[in-house]
Amino acid sequence: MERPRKGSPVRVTGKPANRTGLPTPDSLRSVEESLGETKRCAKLRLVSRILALAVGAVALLVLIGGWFLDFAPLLIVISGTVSTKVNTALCLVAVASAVLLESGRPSPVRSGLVRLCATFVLLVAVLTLIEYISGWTFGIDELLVADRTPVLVTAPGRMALATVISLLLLGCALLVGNRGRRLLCKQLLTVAVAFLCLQNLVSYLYGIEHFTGIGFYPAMSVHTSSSLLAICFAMLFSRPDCGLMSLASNENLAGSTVRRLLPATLLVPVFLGWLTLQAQLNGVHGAVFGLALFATANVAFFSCLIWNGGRQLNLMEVEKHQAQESFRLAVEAAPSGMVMADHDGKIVLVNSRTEQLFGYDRKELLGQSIEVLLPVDVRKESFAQPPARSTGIGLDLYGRRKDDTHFPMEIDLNPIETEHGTWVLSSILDITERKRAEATLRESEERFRNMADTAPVLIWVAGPDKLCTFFNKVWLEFTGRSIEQELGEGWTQGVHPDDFDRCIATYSASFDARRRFRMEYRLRRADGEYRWILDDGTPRFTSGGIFAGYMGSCVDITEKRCAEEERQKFVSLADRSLEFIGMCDLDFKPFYVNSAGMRLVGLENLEGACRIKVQDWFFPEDQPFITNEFFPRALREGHGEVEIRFRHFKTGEAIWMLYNVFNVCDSSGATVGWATVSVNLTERKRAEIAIEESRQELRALAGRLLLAQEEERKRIARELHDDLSQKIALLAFDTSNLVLASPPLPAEMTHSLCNLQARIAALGADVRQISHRLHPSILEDLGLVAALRELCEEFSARTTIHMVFEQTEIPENLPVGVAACLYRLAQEALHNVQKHARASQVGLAVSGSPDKIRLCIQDDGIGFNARSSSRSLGIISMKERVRLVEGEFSIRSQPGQGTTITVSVSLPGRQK
Amino acid sequence: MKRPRVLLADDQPMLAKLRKLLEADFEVVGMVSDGRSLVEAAFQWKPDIIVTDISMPKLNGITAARKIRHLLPRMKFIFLTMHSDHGYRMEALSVGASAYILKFSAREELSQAIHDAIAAPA
Repeated sequence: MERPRKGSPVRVTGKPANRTGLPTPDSLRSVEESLGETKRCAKLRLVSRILALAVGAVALLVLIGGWFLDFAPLLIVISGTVSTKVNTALCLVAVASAVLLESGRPSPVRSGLVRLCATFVLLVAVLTLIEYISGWTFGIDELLVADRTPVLVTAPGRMALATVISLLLLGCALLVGNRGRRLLCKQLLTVAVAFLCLQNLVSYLYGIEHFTGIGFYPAMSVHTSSSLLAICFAMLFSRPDCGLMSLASNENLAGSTVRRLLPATLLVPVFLGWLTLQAQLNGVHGAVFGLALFATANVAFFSCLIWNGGRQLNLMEVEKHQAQESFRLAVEAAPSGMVMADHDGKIVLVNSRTEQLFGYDRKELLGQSIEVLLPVDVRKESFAQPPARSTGIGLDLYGRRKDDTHFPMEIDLNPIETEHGTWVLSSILDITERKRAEATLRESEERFRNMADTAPVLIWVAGPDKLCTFFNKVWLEFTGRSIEQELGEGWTQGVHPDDFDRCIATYSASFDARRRFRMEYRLRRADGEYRWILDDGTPRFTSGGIFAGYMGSCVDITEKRCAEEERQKFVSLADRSLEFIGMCDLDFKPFYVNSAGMRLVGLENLEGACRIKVQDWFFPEDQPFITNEFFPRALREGHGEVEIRFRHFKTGEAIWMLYNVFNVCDSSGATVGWATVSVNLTERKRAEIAIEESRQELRALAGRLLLAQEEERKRIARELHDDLSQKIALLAFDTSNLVLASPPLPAEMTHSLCNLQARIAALGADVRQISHRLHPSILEDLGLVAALRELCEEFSARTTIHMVFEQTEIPENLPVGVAACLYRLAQEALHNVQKHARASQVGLAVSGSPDKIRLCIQDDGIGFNARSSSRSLGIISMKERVRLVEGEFSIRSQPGQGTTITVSVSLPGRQK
Repeated sequence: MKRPRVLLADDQPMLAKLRKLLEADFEVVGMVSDGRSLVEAAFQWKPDIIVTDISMPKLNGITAARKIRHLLPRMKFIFLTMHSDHGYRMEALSVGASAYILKFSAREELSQAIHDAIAAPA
């Protein structure tokens, strides 16, 4: 069953709603069947046109074929009856034409033609009627063609009186028009003509060939009466929804009843009469019995017809009751309040939801004005604009409860046309929650827009169709374009051509997959420069999980990208470096260590490395120094360098490093972290240790060599002194005995012995000199001071250089090694002075304290570059000698400024 | 007339030749071959004069003389040595030596030097 569409005007027939607040079954059925009426009317109109065309065609056949072409069968259908006259055929054509014209869209031309046809028909009919009444002949009967038919009831060519009356009535009907009650008048005239024609046809059916015996009722041909009857139906069907026909065409109970009864009423009695007549003519029964039989048959037929009608009415009543109950349940079950008001604004229907919404009892509302519920006069507005709509759209509409409080509501108004006027069915929805949600949504949207416009990033929003619907202020300022230019796909015009395909592909694919995307592309800035931006798009879903599009934010990463490229260069460089390179933040938490650094300390991944604080990278014993001394100093000075041990995280071994750390600054010069480029010193340290050990060994060896040399020289000197010198002395003694022998030897021999004695003495002196050079026994015999004094005197005597010797507070019992060292040093220094210095004066001072002795030799010679000559063998020898007694040696000399050698030796174990 | 009493100290073979040379004029009260023995012998024999070498084991002649002079201030010394160095000579004189004679000229000079020392006032 088709239901009335929302907003379609509905005409309701039957009684208005009863006092229960529900519609009557008739009105209900009318509503339900309202749509079927239009189709039925359309069919009837179509039938009307077909009938008019058929009538017109028959009339033209008669006129052309019968009269102009003399084809007799077209003029007389039943032999012995009258023919259709020329004027009749013309009038039928005119009437059929008028009906066809009326069936089209109303227009002044059509109306004029209709009136012209009607006037023609009327003129012919009136003139013919005057001829009948007055006996005059105007010559119109055979104006076109002479009447050659054999049956002549009246004058030749003159139409029958019944035809004249019928055409007169039809002409009047056509002239009356279709407005209001005129239409009813027209239909009544038409019905009269129809009955006239029906009578004529039934007469033919019952076998009457001539109507001459029936007073003024003249004969009407079969096809004239058929055509007139058809044109009557055509005229009635042309307005099926108005006047008399509205009842027959309606889909309600009345229409159904009319449509069911009327054909049977028209046909069955005629048929029964024909049967009775035939039986009577055939002698089956007499006239009286036949009449009685006819009456009885009609009674039986109409009884059955009425009973069947009653049964149908009963069924329809049940259906209507069920429909009423369904409607009532539907209205009651409606989630919104349903209120129906009549044309006076009185409430005729409410449901329970309405009671809940407004706090009224149903009985309190029925019959009350709709104003009770609606403070705003929406009812009048609704009547002013009948098409259904949501009245609340565009204005804040509030309902008034019984306790005089108000609530926001939305009303759907459905005007319903009834025969009592326009009623309005209102559907009322409490939109308090929706209003609140809308307010919250508006506030949320406003907040979003404010936030989006104040956010330091470019923000965009797209709908589910991939078209962008919003760009924040920052975006528009960035691109320098208007929101209208950017909306939809406009924003893609700013994407760099090289990035366009990739950008759009990522955007589209992510949209299709409803997944988040992050992509980098170049976007044209307002100044025309393309800037790299990072676009982060996230799909949006409604609370119901429906995809609502995307929202994204973009940041300008051009600088960051450049920095990243620079960083990559740095990382590439650093990763190829064999040195330890690392960076940490201000909390000394590493964030980068190069591959070489990782390998060096036995770490495998950067993530793990970054979890180890910088302090913990050092060897445990060095951590206090790093934490408490080195880092504070580096923080103060901005850099620092130290040789320190790292630790190997797997083996725990120490790794010697030249740890060079410096601060990393940002563009403003502020320290943002620390970096180190450190060199692995382990191998160098090992080499240094090896060298040092070797040096120590060399020194020890050199010391032993010196001692051995000293010992050997001492031994040789002692041998020379104790053995050879003594023997020479004995030889000299013995020689002296010979020289002094008694009696004296000859003078010549004595002289020879004296010479020999002198040579022996010289030999002894030479040996003693050699012994003295090898080892000055005076050092052991008389001590350092005497030995040095002797050395100075001997030097001064040998070189003629003025020698000044000073000594103060020399401790007693100097260690032999210390005394020998100082003596040998003085000996070497004086030797150098004699050999190189070209000095005129030399000072040798030895001074001491109980725990220390100091020797200083100073000359006024030509001097030399002490730094460049520090590797000379003499100086090295002196240094080594001093180092053997753990003393300090220094030499100060400049070209032209003489030379000063200072030796200081601590005397361990002595108290001050 | 009592002959001067002489104590000889030397660690070399020349000591025997010296004794033979000196015994003609002097009474050689003893001969020692190291400085420490010299000190002990000096206190034991208290000679008139001591003829000593400088370079001797255990204690050199000058040091021994200094020790002896510390307790026997009037003791006379003559150093007979191979050392012709001025330092030795000065050191010997500083401890009050009566003469400083090189061994090469001992035969000619020693006896006279002893006589001169004995004759000289203490």
